[in-house]
Amino acid sequence: MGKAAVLGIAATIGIANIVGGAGAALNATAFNTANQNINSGKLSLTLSAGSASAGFGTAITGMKPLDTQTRFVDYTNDGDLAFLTPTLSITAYTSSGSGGTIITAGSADAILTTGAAAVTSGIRVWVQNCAAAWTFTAGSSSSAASCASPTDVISTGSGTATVLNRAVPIATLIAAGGSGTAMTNLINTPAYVNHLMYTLYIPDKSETTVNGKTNALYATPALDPASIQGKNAWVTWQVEVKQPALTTGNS
Amino acid sequence: MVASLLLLTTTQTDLAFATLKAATNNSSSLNISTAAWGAFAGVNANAALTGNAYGPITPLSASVSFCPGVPLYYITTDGGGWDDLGRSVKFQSANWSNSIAVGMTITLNSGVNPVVSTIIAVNSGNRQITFSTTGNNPVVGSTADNYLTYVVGDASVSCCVTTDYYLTTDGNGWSSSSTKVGLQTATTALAVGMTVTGVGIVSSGTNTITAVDNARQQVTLRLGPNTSANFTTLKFSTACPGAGVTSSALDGFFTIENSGSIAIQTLAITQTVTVTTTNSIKLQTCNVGGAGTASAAWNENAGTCAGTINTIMTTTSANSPQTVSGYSMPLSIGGDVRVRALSTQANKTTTISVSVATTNTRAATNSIS
Repeated sequence: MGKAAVLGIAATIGIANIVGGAGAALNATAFNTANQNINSGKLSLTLSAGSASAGFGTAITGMKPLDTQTRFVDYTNDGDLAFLTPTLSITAYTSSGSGGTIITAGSADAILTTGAAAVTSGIRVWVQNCAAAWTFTAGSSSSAASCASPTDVISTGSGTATVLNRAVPIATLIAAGGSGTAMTNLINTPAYVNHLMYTLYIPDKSETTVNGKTNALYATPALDPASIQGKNAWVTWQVEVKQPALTTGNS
Repeated sequence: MVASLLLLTTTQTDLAFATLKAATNNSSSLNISTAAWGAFAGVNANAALTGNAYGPITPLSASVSFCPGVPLYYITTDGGGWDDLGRSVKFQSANWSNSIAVGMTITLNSGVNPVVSTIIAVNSGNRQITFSTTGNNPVVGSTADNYLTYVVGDASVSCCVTTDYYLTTDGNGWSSSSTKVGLQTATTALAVGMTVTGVGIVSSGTNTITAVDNARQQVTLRLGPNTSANFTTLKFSTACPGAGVTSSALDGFFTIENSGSIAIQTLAITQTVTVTTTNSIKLQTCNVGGAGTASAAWNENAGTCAGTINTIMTTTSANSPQTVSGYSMPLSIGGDVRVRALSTQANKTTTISVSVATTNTRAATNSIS
């Protein structure tokens, strides 16, 4: 570029500054020097077997009326939001894995979990919460688990605090469907661990097997829909929580 | 399971679309099952045998022949004979007690006033039998050796014929110093246990045949006190009591098996019998001690028990079908026990039904894990 050209450009700039200063105010910009952090909350709940417990991981076999089986499951709020409206939804299947279908009322195994007969004679469950891990002896058949101040999570809510009074028919819980049954007394704050104890119980039922049969129509008690004997179910226990109430922050 | 979604809801409209949910469940479903309780009673070792597990059980060893109308059991002379007041009498041969059973009808012959009565007890040890009496008994035992006669029995059995067998002549006949004697004629009618009588032989319960060798026409005898005379003729009571003496058991064995999936503590047994009046069928177990203790071994051929025989029930035509509930018979899953049906009457059947109720199984448990 030649010298004459450079001088020409400089002259043009000088003219423009004169024109602008005549029509616009000065701009001033203010901003936070440190970026404001804005993030979304996380709603998360996980379960694991309670300390020293089989949790839901080991089958419960060979129950008879008046037997109880107790399992411990910890639910951890590992999100950063306090959850609301926890519900328990239960589904009973004919077998494990993908081959299982949902047990329907009237089927051979239904009396254990599903339908009107199951409400009377099937499994019942009482769920309690403890602020600390439950104290118990695994494998024990006589001593009870202990907790300083247990609270009912799933319960009939009536009568003295025994499994006979407080256990709810699992058929009733299953009948609630996908909306589930409300769980009470769960602590919802982030990072909190709810130590739940599931006590399963089969109510008393008198059955007499004569020459290997409970009913002449069926070769074995397991095939007799009215018999509690020899029945099977594969059960999933799903706890669902929802987000906390909306907040409007002014600060 | 984790659910996370941007939470920037600022209006009610936004809320309708953005409610957060989180759920968690056991990824592997929990299997829950119940036990089954029950038991079979079978006619053989396989108690669960399909189809005939409850079929009639026939006592096996019908080896006692009851012969009609022949006097066999002589009352031991006690100086007063027998009278209806005493009711209990002794009989001469201890061996014969093996073929006498409670419920047999007998006739006491004495003069012109025979009395029909029924045996209500047998004591083999002291050779004593006890009768039932009607009170209409004219017999007063003033004479010795009254005798009793069976009046019921298996009429098809040709037996109870007393036959003379002549001993092989050897110039000296037979003496009590010898135990084996030959017979002049071959016969297959003699059997171990038959009684032996003869002139000069003192009546004794030990006067019996102990061995028979038909090929050699030879029998071995066991005799009690005898005279010193040699004999050429002996009387053998053929067939009756004969072979029947070797076994008095009218029995059959079957198995009760826990066919369920839970231990059994007690159970109920119902027995239906077809015996005639005054007869019965017992159900018995063989244990190391009382009922409910561990099983001891039956010798099913001999009808003996290596431990203690415990009677579950005694069923007659009067109380059939009879049920005994809550009988102690601990059986683990798949465990079994052998039971004997012991009849006082030959060729009869019994039908067994076994029931297990919820309360018959193990006690309820409270398991924590």
